Amino acid sequence: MNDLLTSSEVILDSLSDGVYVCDRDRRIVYWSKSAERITGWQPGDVVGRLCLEDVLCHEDKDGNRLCGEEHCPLHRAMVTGATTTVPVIVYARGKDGRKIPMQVTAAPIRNESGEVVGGVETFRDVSPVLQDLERAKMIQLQALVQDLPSDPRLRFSTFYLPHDIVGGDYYAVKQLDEDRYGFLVADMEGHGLAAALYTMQLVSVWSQHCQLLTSPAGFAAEVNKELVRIFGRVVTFATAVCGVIDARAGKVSLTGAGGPPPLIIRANKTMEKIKCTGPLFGVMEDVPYEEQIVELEPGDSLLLFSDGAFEIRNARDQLLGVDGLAKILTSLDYPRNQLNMDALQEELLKFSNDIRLQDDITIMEVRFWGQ
Amino acid sequence: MKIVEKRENDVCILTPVGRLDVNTSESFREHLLQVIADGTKNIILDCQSLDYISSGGLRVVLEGAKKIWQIEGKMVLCSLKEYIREVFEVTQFDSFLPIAETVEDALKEF
Repeated sequence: MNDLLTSSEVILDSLSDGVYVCDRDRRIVYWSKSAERITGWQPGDVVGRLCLEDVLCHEDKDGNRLCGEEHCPLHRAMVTGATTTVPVIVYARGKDGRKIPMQVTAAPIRNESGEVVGGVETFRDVSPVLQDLERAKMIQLQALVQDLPSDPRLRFSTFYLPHDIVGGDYYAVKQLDEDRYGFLVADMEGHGLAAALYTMQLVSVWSQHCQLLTSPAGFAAEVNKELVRIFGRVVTFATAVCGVIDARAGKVSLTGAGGPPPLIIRANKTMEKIKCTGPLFGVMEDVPYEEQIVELEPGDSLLLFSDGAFEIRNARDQLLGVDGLAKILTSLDYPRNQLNMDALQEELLKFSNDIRLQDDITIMEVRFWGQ
Repeated sequence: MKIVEKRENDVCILTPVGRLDVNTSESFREHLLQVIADGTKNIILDCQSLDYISSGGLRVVLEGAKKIWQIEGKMVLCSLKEYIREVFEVTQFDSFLPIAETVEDALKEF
């Protein structure tokens, strides 16, 4: 047994997880055999180099580089002195240029007096798990992307950005008769896989009940009842706003179920926040839902969104809020210009001072042109 | 998260301090469920020091409420700050749980 414990390097080299150690300046001082096995980089290629140089090139799922100061898990562990509590998924570059998804944890290394003198990062190749999630993403996107109705009197557009590979937001639009269109934007509590699985339930609840949207409050009551049944003993909920628009008259009837207040941005850039409150979906049966009627004029736009679009904090810990989101939209000269989702996302990121947004984001735009 | 706990006869008054979000929900959940597991049937959630609640935070409150209902107890919320009031208004939380203006008013619910 003692022989076994003579060298910690032997133990580290025997692990299936890759391990490397950096000094306080993030210079790589140790690179395990398993790290070599996973990445193809040999100790001679990397030991002595800074880990933020073009070796591993850690990126997040959206391709944002993480090797700077604040987003590098190892750097963060050394600065805060805390071990990673939740493993982070990053993409690293192997020696052959291949991108390898890795689950990473990092911990500071302290000397005898407790001073942080370096850091250790362990990583695991999670390609098989990620391939599974990518398939799940395709299945989910397939369920979400529906043919949006084409009608010269109005236009629906949707924007969807999941925080993880799969997301907890759901939206749908359905033509109900010659003039009327029903719509829904819903947000499952939480995000990630569990929320994504529930969105697939929303798909079937939607297709079963969407014809009821001629009365959004009646639709909401049925959806609520169904979700109470589906959630069963699991405590969770969905927030949502649903409604129906009459393309002839621009009359909209809206029902809220805990979803954010929709915005009307008029052609002249004035804004209205539509207060349509209602009980969260799936908590309790037999709760009442109400309808709010609003009128759109030609050129006006109605926006529905999930809270990820405005519950964004900046570096000074201030919340963007619905009003902040509306301000950004008008600064992009909306609604005169088309809704430019890339520009909007860029503005949201600028506000958050982060490399990625922290929640799923869905925006549904109903642009009314009239006869 | 800091949670101040007080007792007023058989009512437990919990005052979470700060933000109930992704980082703090779990510790608040553990505290709340422990209070219920210890046999408390009447709980006031005093929100006077609560600055923010995420949807995960709402879930924890609902989970506590459902546990309390199972043992035929009662949970009352009170002293909502402006932001929290807005969240509870949009989600019509008062259709699930009674909401009182002050701790004194909440105590009258029992």
